[in-house]
Formats: sequence, C-alpha cells, structure tokens
Amino acid sequence: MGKSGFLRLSGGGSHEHLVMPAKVYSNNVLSSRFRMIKVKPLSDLRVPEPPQFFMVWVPGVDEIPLSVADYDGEVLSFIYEVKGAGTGALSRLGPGSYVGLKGPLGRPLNVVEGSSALLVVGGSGVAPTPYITKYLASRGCRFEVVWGVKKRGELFNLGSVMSGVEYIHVATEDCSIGYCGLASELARELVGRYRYDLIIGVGPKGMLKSLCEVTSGVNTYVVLEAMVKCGVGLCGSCALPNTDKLLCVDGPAFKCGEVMHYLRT
Amino acid sequence: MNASGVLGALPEHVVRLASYGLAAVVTKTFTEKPREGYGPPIILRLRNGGYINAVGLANPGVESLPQVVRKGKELGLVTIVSVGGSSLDEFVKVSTTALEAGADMIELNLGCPHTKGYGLDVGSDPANVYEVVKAVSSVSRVPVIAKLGFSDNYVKSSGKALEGGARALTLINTVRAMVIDVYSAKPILTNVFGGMSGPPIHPIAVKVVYDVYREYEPEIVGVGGVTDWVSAAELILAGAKALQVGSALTAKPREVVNSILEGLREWVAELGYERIEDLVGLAHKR
Repeated sequence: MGKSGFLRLSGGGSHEHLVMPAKVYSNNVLSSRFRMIKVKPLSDLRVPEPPQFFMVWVPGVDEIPLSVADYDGEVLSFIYEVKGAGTGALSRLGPGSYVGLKGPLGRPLNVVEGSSALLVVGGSGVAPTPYITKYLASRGCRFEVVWGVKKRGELFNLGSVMSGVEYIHVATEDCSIGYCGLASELARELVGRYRYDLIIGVGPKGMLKSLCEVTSGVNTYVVLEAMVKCGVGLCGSCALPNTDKLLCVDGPAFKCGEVMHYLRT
Repeated sequence: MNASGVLGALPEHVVRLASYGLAAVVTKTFTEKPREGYGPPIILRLRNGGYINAVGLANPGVESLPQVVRKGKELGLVTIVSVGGSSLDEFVKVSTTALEAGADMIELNLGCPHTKGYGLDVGSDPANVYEVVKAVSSVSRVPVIAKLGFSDNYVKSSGKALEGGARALTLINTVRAMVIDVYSAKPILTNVFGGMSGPPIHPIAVKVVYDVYREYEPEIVGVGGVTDWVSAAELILAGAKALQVGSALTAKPREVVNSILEGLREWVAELGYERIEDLVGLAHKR
C-alpha cells in the first residue's frame, strides 16, 4: 500500500500530531554506542527541519522522542542509543516491521544564509547532527564540527552520514584519539581563535552550560533533551525547570539566554 | 480557562498558562500520592480532527500542590484546583490542601474516563457523586464545581452533584474511545483506551449542557471541542456561563484564546446584546 491519502484529516488541520505508519527499511549498528534506523513513511509527511524530532512508536512497547538524522524525501533516518526497554525494542525491529511516527515536532532552526558556524556535538547530541549540517550546507554556511565522545569506540564515520562538512574536530575524554578533553573545552579554544557568526551545541546539559558560558556574546543555540511524553504541549513533562518553556513546542533549540536559568540548575 | 489536564502540574506550567490570556487556570488533577501515569503514547491526534489521551492522572501529588496554587495567585489568576480521588477520604484530603493553599475554587474530577478507580468510575454512579460533592462542600468555603463525564446518567448525576452542594458543573470530560493502528494491528495508546476530546465531542457537549441546563438551570462551565468563537457561542446558548479550552491549546494557544474572546465580543454586539450573560441558555427560549 502506498501513499494513498489514507491518513488525510477529514477536518483539515495539521498532521503532526497523528501517529502515522512507517515501515522499517534498515536498522544497523554504527558504533559501540550508536545505531541508525531508517524508516519509510507510508503516508504524506511534512518535511522535517532540523532539529525537529518525531515521537517514534514501537507498537505495543513505547513511544520514543528521536531527532531526525536525515530525510531524503522518502526515507527518514534516526540515530539512537539503546538506553531502556523502548530503545531496546526499537533495536530489535527488522526491515519490514512497522512503527508509528508523530511529528515533525518542535521548532526549526532559522539560520541566516552564508553564516559561519561552529557545531559542537557531545554524546547523544550526534543524533540530529547530520541533518543540521545538511541544513547549514543548504543555507550556504561555512561550518566546522567539534565532536566529543568518552572513548574512541563510540566514534563512527560521521562523514558518511553527513554532507558539506569541511572539518571534524574529534575530542575524546580518555584521550584515545584527537583532542584530549571535553568538546566544550575544545570549543572554547576554537572560539578564542576564530570568529563564528553562530554556534550550535547539541549534547548533555553540562556541556551546553559550559558552551553558553564560554561563548557569551556570540549567537549561541543549544539543542536540549528532556523527558518528552506527549510531544504536543499538553502534558507538561518536558517543561524546563525555572523557565516557562516546553521543550516539545518551543525547542528543542533555544538561545542560551532563554534557558540559562535551567542550565544552571 | 484551560481544561484540566492541560499543563497545571508545576508552577512553571501555571506561568505558561497565564501567558495564554485565560481568565482562570485549572490545575492538573491532583491526587494524594504522586502518580506517574501511563507510559507513552499518551496523547495523539485522530484522523477525525479530535485528540485521544490516556495520561493516567499523572501528577506530583498533593505535597506539590501549594506551590502550584501560590504561583497562580501570585500571577493574579483565579486558580481552580482539580481534585481527584479514589475514596471520599482522598477527595477531602486533597481539597483541604487546596483550600489551605488558597485555591479560589475546587473542581472535582468525577469524569476522567481512563483511570481505574478514579474519575468516571466514581462519577457515573449518581449516589457516589452526591457523597463526594457533599463531603467536599461541607469542608469548603470556596465554590465547589463538579466535573462530570459523559455517561448514561449525566442528568441524574448533575442533579445529585447540585443536591450535594456543587455551586457549578463542568460539562463534559473526554469521551471514552480507542484507536488501533491498522498496520501493526495494535491499540496505539499504552492504556489501550482513553478519552476523546476536541471537535468530534463538541456536539455531545452541547447536548449535555443543553439537557442539564433545561433540567436545573445551574451554573455550567462548558467544555468539549471549543476551538473558536462559534463552538464557544453554541455552548453558551446551550447554557454554559464559562468555558474551558483543552485540545485547541495544542496549536498557537495565545491566538486561539484571543480569537475566541474577540469573536464572542463581536457576536454579542452583532446580536444586539450588551452582556454575554444575556445569551446564556438563550437556545432554550421559544
């Protein structure tokens, strides 16, 4: 069955909050930490813009918020890490299995054409990175990527899932390869040396807090993670403490100033 | 005001609701102990334009209630606490905390359709409705509102709530419903079934409000599929004196609230009335 219009809403309105069927195309290991699942939506999808995400429903098990790693007009890719029962079940889905997709959710980034950008990636922040770089390339931006991980085994050939990257700076916490230290420390050095119109951080809260602190004065966006349950702004589980923001509708990307009270908690 | 269940569990949620331009905020239903609720999926949109949810009365428990109420008061909002319970004792305990915290009104959740032992499980029996409303009204110095669900007994339950001392009724809660994914052949909600809200239940809400108004002419807070001024106006004509908005707050909530208010103002003027109160229950006049 193809894109038959099966899921058109009778009353008009938006599709993003429906759970739309999709078929698993592939589901592979990328590194010791990360996997990538590719799915083909079975109905019309609104084209996602980074760093938007989908709630991916594993039938009968869980619904998991996953950032879009790529979309080529037909296949949607997600990079994920097995953390619990939901992602465990997701990792066991073979080609031909069905999932449900609610989204794209959240707000797109809005980057001025031709900007120079530094993308700082830590840990699971790698998930939306390929789609962000694709977007930056499409906006004619020059950009560099800092990718920090704990140890070498977590790395995979990011270039194979990304387009337009001029240079990837790798940082490892165990000093096994590349820069010895945290992604935010390497970012601090780069920011001290070069001028960027824009900095985008994707990764754990601690890293994003440091990034906001070391780049004060520069246009810095941080892409946050939170416990998303409904994805539509009703249940409030992704409320960012000490702000009036909901990650699922206002984020996941925020300017440092909007979420600094949260990052400091 | 917002329908209970839309945010309202944390002080941060109240700050956000305040920014929507509502006249009053209704908290999430609070129970005595914290409840995690169901795992996702808990809410999704339906192909018919409605929403379905089974959140499972997730809330941080009564200990966290005072700070939520205080935030509402601090922001100058009429703050209504939604109270849940699986026993008389629990309803009274949560209500007492709400009163001590300074709640302006209490809304008793007697209509949640998807949580065993709560809501509609209590509220579909008119005798239970009477007992709960009476117990809470007897300890409350602020108005107690009974929020009822859609059941065969809604007229009788409404009567019993009023007899028990309810100063107003909130009609209606979501309507029990279910959605199945036709590819995986599985129910989508983790709880299997849930409550439907949004435009598909609006005509049901209009009928319930109309019937209950005709019978008792009570103060009614109308809720169910209010998305624009027309759907709001219908509930007013059926007998609602105040309105709650739920599902419609999923998209541009400030604009939705504002357009309902603007539209109602123009509507009242168009019909040649000065006050919206004059239109409450007007559909009953022959």
